[in-house]
Amino acid sequence: MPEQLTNYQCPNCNGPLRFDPVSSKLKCDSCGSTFTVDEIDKVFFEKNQEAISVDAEKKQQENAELLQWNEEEAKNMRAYNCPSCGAQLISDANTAATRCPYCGNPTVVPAQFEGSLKPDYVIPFKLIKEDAVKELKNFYKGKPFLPKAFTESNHIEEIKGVYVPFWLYDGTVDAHLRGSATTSSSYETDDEIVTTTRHFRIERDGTVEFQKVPADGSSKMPDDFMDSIEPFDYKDLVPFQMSYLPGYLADKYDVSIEEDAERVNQRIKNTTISLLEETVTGYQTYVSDKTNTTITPGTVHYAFLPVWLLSTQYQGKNYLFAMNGQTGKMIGDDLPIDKTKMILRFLLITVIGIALLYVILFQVMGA
Amino acid sequence: MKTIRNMILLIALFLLIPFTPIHASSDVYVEDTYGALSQEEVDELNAYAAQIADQYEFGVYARIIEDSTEQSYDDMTNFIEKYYTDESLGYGNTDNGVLLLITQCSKGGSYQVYIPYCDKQSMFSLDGMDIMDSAARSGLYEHDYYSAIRDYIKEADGLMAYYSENGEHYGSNYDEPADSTPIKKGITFGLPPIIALITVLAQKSKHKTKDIATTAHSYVPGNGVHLTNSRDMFLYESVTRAPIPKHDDNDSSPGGSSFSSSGGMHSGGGHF
Repeated sequence: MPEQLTNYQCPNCNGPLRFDPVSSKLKCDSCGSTFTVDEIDKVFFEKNQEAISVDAEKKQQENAELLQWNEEEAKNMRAYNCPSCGAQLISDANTAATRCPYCGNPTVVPAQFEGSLKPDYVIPFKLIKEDAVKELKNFYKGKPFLPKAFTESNHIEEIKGVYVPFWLYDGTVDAHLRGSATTSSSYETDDEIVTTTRHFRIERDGTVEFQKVPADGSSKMPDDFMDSIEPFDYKDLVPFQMSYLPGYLADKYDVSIEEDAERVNQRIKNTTISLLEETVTGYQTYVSDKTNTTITPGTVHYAFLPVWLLSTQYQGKNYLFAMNGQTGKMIGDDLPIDKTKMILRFLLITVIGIALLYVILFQVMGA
Repeated sequence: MKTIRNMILLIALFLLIPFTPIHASSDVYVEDTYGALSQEEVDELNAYAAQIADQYEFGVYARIIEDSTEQSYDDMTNFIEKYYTDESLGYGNTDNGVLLLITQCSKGGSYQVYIPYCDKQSMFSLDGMDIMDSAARSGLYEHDYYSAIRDYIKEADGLMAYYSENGEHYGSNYDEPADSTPIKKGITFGLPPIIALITVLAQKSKHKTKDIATTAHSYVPGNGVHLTNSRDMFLYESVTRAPIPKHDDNDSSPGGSSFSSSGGMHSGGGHF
């Protein structure tokens, strides 16, 4: 009987398969066999189609009754059976790829990619878990006031690779800029300084095209995090295939195109005005009087982009770290500060400074 | 016999001449050829100045003259230097001395205090010159020549007494502070905490790494910007004029005293 999940297992030995960023192939953790994405897609095509065909609604109702969920829980949670070991997996309604905690097999929920839910593109992971762990350790360096206990209790090995759903917006902005500019020159006579100022009226009109401006489509991902790990290199953007997902987590989007559009529109407006202002050169002052912008939306693509994520707790507060799974750019929540270390450093610099200046000003120069 | 005795006396006197201190006109410390002071006042002031001059072996001179050339009114600096030299002023066979010269001409009265380049010039600073100048000015503005000269002599005495007791002149020259210790202390104890605070805040800022993106420059393709209109229109020209403040040539110190090219010290002086 078909299940809603598909386990990506090695066709040779049934061991768990995972996508290897180094080789850009799927690799079996048990026998070491490697397969291209296309090969695995072909192998699991039928299973995926069977999984999609399962009456998801009926199944969900059965699970809700079995697990005694109320209506709210049933709306936001999903229960699946692992095709490999039969264990029951509970995840939220948006989970698209995960791993069975019992048998360790990577699992994909094909129904989350059906029809309009299917991403257009994906950037496969380029950096492996070890790279992420190394980058996170480097991230902690150069932060002299980080409490030692924070880095020690980080559970850094629990960092997870996640495909985050993004909307990629194309569009054009038509802008009109009006402003005032001046240049000035001066010379001196015996008695006075004479300054001549020339005043100009500035006009700039133009259009700016934008391609694939990203905005994350997951309410679980903080916007400032996803903005801060940009940019992604779209040279690695490839048509989506489910076989890129094994070994990683993934959620489908739960923030619509319209909901994200306002944020993107503001970014492209700001950029357009900035680009037009950059063409006003040769003046000592420039003041903008008036700007008008009109946005013509273009195509919006749905893509999965790779991010390494670590969530940790310290003194009752949650800290999240995110690394761009393609470029390695690392950012994190505002790190905690050890106030004692900060005060000690302040005092140390002050004392050393006073000692040095005393020797220089009073002993060497005063002698 | 009488003739021979007179001859011997004359020869003896002649031989004593090298041992006789020659002050010539420099023995006269205070002189008034203009007639502003009474003889009693001149004698009193002269005795006062002589007493101080002998104590410090430094002439304290004051002269009130009529200047028919009127050169002192327009260029007191050069006038007073020439006067000092022409009158052979200076204690003993030296140039050591300070002169308060007060002149009168049809244009009005002028004054200045001057110390030539000499061995004991270092007893005085430009601040000291300002003090003597200020003491004379107070009396001269009231046309009280006696008070002007008396106060000037008194200040000269005080300045030389200070030097004698402390081994250094009172006050300072140019912009150098009399005592730079307060400034050094301020730098020593004030600067390091500021540097420490800036350093600590800079290092603390590294703890913050994320921010909302407000622009999208990375998503504009190479040929994505098209300017359809670019116009810069000249509107008008405006001209502003700011006067340049005039500087007094003698205004090298806060009080106006300065060193001349010959190395002499001149007070700000002025007209009255």
